[in-house]
Amino acid sequence: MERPIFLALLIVALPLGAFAIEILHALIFRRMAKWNDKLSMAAMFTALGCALYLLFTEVLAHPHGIEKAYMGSVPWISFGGDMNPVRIDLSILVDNMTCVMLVVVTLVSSLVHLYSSSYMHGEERYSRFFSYLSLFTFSMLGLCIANNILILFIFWELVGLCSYFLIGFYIEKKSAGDASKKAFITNRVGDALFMTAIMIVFSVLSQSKGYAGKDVLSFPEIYRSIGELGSNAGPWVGNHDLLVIAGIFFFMGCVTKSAQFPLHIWLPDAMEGPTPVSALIHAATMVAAGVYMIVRMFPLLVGEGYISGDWFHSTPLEVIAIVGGFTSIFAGTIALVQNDLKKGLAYSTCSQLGYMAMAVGVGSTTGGMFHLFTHAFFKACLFLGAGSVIHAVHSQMMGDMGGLRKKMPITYWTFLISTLAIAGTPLFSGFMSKEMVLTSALAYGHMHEGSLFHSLPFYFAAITAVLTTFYMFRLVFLTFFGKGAWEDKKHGAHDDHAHAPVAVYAAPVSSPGHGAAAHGAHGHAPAAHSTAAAHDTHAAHDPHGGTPAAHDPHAAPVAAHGDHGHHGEPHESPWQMALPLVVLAVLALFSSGIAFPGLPGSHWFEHRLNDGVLVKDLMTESSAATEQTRQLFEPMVVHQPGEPLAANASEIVAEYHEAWSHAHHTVFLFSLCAVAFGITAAAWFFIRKRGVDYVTGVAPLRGLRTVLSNLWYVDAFFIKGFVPLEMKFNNLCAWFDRTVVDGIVNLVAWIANKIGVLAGLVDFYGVDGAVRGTGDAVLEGGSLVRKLVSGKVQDYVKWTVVGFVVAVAAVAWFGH
Amino acid sequence: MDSQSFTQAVAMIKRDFGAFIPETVLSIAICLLLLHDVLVKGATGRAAAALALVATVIAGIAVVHDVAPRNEELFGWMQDGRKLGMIRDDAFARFFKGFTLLGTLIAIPMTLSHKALQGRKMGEWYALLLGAALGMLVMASATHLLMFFMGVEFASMASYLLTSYIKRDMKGSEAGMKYAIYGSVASAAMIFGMSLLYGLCGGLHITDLAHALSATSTSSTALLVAGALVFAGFAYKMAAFPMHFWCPDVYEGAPTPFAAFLSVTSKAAGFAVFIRFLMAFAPGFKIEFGGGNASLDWRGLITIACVASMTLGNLGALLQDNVKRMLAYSSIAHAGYLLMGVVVLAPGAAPEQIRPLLFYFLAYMFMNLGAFYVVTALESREGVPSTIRSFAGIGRRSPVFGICMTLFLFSLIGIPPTAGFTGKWMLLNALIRQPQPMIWLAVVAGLNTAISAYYYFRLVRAMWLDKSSDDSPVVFARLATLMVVALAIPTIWMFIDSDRVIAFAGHFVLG
Repeated sequence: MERPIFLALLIVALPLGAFAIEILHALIFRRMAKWNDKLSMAAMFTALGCALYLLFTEVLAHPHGIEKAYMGSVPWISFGGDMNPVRIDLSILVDNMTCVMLVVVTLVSSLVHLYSSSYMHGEERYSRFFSYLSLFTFSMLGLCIANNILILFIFWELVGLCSYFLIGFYIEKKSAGDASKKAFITNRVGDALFMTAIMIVFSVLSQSKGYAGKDVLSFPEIYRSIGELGSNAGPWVGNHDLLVIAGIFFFMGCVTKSAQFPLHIWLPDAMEGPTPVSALIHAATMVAAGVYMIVRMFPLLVGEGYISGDWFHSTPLEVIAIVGGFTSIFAGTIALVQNDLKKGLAYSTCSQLGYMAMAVGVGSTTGGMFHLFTHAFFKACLFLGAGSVIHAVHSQMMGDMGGLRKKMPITYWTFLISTLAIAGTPLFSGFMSKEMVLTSALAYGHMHEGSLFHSLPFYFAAITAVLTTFYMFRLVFLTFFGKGAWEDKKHGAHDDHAHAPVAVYAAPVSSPGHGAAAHGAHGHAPAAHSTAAAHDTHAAHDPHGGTPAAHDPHAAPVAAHGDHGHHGEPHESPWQMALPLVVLAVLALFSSGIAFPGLPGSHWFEHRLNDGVLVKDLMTESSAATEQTRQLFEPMVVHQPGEPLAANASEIVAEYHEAWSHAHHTVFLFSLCAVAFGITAAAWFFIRKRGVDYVTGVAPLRGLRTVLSNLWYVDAFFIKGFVPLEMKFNNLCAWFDRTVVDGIVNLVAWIANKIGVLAGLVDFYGVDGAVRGTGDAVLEGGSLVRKLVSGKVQDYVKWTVVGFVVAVAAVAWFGH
Repeated sequence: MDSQSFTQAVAMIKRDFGAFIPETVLSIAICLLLLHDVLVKGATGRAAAALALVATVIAGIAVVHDVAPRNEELFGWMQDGRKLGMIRDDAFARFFKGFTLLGTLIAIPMTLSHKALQGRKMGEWYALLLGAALGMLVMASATHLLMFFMGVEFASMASYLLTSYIKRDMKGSEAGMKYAIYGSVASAAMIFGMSLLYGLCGGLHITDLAHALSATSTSSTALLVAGALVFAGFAYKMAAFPMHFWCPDVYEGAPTPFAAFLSVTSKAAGFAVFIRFLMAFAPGFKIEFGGGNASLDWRGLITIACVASMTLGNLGALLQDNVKRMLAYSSIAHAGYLLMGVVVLAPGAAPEQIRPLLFYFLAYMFMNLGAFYVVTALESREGVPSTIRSFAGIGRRSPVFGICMTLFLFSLIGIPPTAGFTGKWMLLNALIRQPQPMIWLAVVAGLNTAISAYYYFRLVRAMWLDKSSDDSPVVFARLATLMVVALAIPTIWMFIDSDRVIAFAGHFVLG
């Protein structure tokens, strides 16, 4: 076994081993072991070491990283008979992308483990929490090394399952249970379509001649089949429709997993889970799995465009670009009015995931993966920072925060660095990835001579960039600046707190069934927020021995802290929580390399993880279109302005390259302006004019606020649109039963009755007694049956007849 | 009849009898069990159970003892140089015979684990159980419309009695009554359809049907009505739309071991007899008969039944609190999934196309019987019908049961790593790999799976996440634990080593 393969397997096996030991222990001794946290953590940090080793020795040591992907496989299932044999292998793949993903997952996961050991301390199911984390990490790592779309799907389901468990971790909260169910069910929709897409690929490839006995669902075979399209051969010829359908269905899997519009509805609710889980699963890793998947399937999404060089006209990619772009702006607007810190971050995640999907859609897998990579660090840092704040003030509502800058310096500085990163400030990692995404989107628009439809992704993304800076700094200013609600608490001033600091936006929410409580503009006392909001902190978490008073709905959120000598003041979190913040903040700065061109290490990501390296060696291996493909890739891999263009590049590539260079400068300037404008505006509203309500006085703005607070009515649409539909359908059925069916039955009965009367008259003298006797018997029997079965079995037979008639009529109607 | 032909006939019957041993064994066992009840004073259930068990095992051995099936029809006559008969011994029949006997074999310990059936005279119970199994064996191998009807009726009659076996149980009696009424409607429809077919074709042997139809001119409408009426009888056994209405009430009222038995073996026998009918009636689904003046779109009919069954079943199960009722609706939904395996037996389909169906049946047997076994054990312990509430905290209180049940439910949804996943995968795959892929049907099935996840997960959630009033460990009887684990193993094993199981299923193509 080659060393990278071995290492990858080891990395995946470590958390699995930890989980297995913990479960075995629990089964044998009927309780969770006390040392679960230490075991899981040890396994995670070992895995992190291996992953880093892999990254440094294999990827960073060479200018282009792993040039030829390492693959290993074991046969698993084979079927299809001798005529048409097919095979599915358990196979793994280690290339640059895998290595990067392994590092991201193990790094964030091990930091979250460390963080949780303090954050979740004293929690009732503390040990179980770590088992879940291990299981999740194993599944996520497995997803990253899979070299087969079916295996990937299996792990995909597993991460979904772990997410279900972890969202519903606080089982005593009904909202957590509902949220977990919502997440699971929503995801099943995408999973069903994802599965169908796999089936389509499987059916097309397995019936093709050149693929007999091959592991047709493995990535190399899928890439090969697309490569063959270049010479107008292979299984997809004549199956173009299926290719497009499969591409769109694959993306539907991503739509649910990566929370794209309109199935993003589960992600904000998933914030019911513990905050470390939000950081790990619902910000950094699992939700990015959808993007990872479409990047892996990119050649299939492009379809024949891959060969002709014109991948800008592929239907699935156009869908992805527009949906991704729309998601980013859509979620960005909602994030503007969130008053719950975690919800705000959740919508921000949604928005950034939209960026990633859009980047893939406009043809830049590098941009998508790059943003995934940097986003994982700064978003995890933001979430963990939010957890730290929540830990300190015992509330998720920003109305209860404010002025924490001095009290929690580490949290503040790390949060600020990450916010600068997500805003796309130059020198920060987020700047480089976001710039890449925006530039690709702009160049994509140029390629279509500025056609509105193809320019939309860029406009969406550009507006989102401004929005992002604004709402992220809003979070920072509301949380860390100004006068803290907890300061008022010191003086016992409950009632004069008439204006919540977020009054600029606060609006009543009428969205049914949604827990995103933007609280009233009428100045609730902050104490009420802590109960209205679904905050996940308990006195039991508090390592400093807070009393159960924190549960008391009338107690001020910080009162519990008063017991241990801090007199109600929030304070910095312990080192287990602070250290991960610092590490992640450093990565938020430097993860994309040193941001000065020319220095060693700059642009390391683009060199190693562009779509050329991703699939070049796999796809060109046996393809008839080797030369064409190479021509396409070589110049496209790195979009660095000023680099000479390869002489043999095709026309479209040259055009794209030029568009890219132009776009680069525009985007750079734009980014600077966006950041400056966003920060200034946020500072004006939330520091300078803090507490002043601008919105209520202006009718259009007020209306907009209501719309945004109600999440654009998407959730309401699903609840109001679909649930009543079902009820209406039920009513319709009932009506049909009452009027039509009963009517027919009554009519038949009436006719039968009349015939019976007639017959009775005719045969009055002859068989009267017999007829009457039989009739009575039937009636008696009928009433007996009615009594026995409470009048239901007639219904059954009745409905059977109806169903039967309908089925036969349908066959008779459509069958000929 | 001259003496020579008489001797010949006797010799033929003697020879054919070799392939009829399983049925004979069961018949003898039924007589012995009835005698046992009458003759032995203070007979306990255990002795009867042992007898039934031995008989089932012997019958099972008899099914597989000579490796190669004869591929010929038994107890028949010569016609046009071919031997035609009432039943047929082939690999297909053997699969379903073995399947039925295995289901019976699992139902017997389940009966022992069921509290409500303890301390009674049980000879009669086992006799009826074996009787139902006997009817199903006949269904699996029948080639003559008369035998179809006989088999269906035989199995049904025994089932009615088993449903209302516990005399003073109101629910059981009501369920038995409903079952009988509904069953008679189904039988009436079926025999009416058969009489129409006889009128149209002039024969009752299934090879006669196609033959006669190709020779005479018949109206399509008559054929459709006849065929659809016969289908009603089969759908009743399969618990598929539009004859599924009996299912929830009967499962809820019947003693749980019998409901389990019914959900698996009865459905399988229904499918066996239906597929054989289809294949002979319309060989290879050839829809056009004769000069093309009469045709019947079987595929359309089955597709409608398939979609409607899974959708109605899953929707019905959504809000059920009674676990047995929920499993009943789930069984209707599974009839829908299984019908996908019939849809793909289209014209020109390779014989292997039957494999997904057979594989799914095997998976379904283990996962569904497993789920029912857990319900039985729990019900016997609590003494009340199982609701979702009564599952609260079982995962913590009895981890073995919790894990096994979770596994069965995952398998029923079709989540890896379970047999149900591989089974669904194969069914959908067969659907899409047809010459004309039915992607829309695969999508419908996928969405149905999504719906079904909801109600199965209610149970999983109850087991692992809900609080129970008392948190003490639950200890189940050793037999129940053993059986549940024994059923869980194949549920996983069929996923891991699916290759071998698929190859195994490949032996049982319709001969």
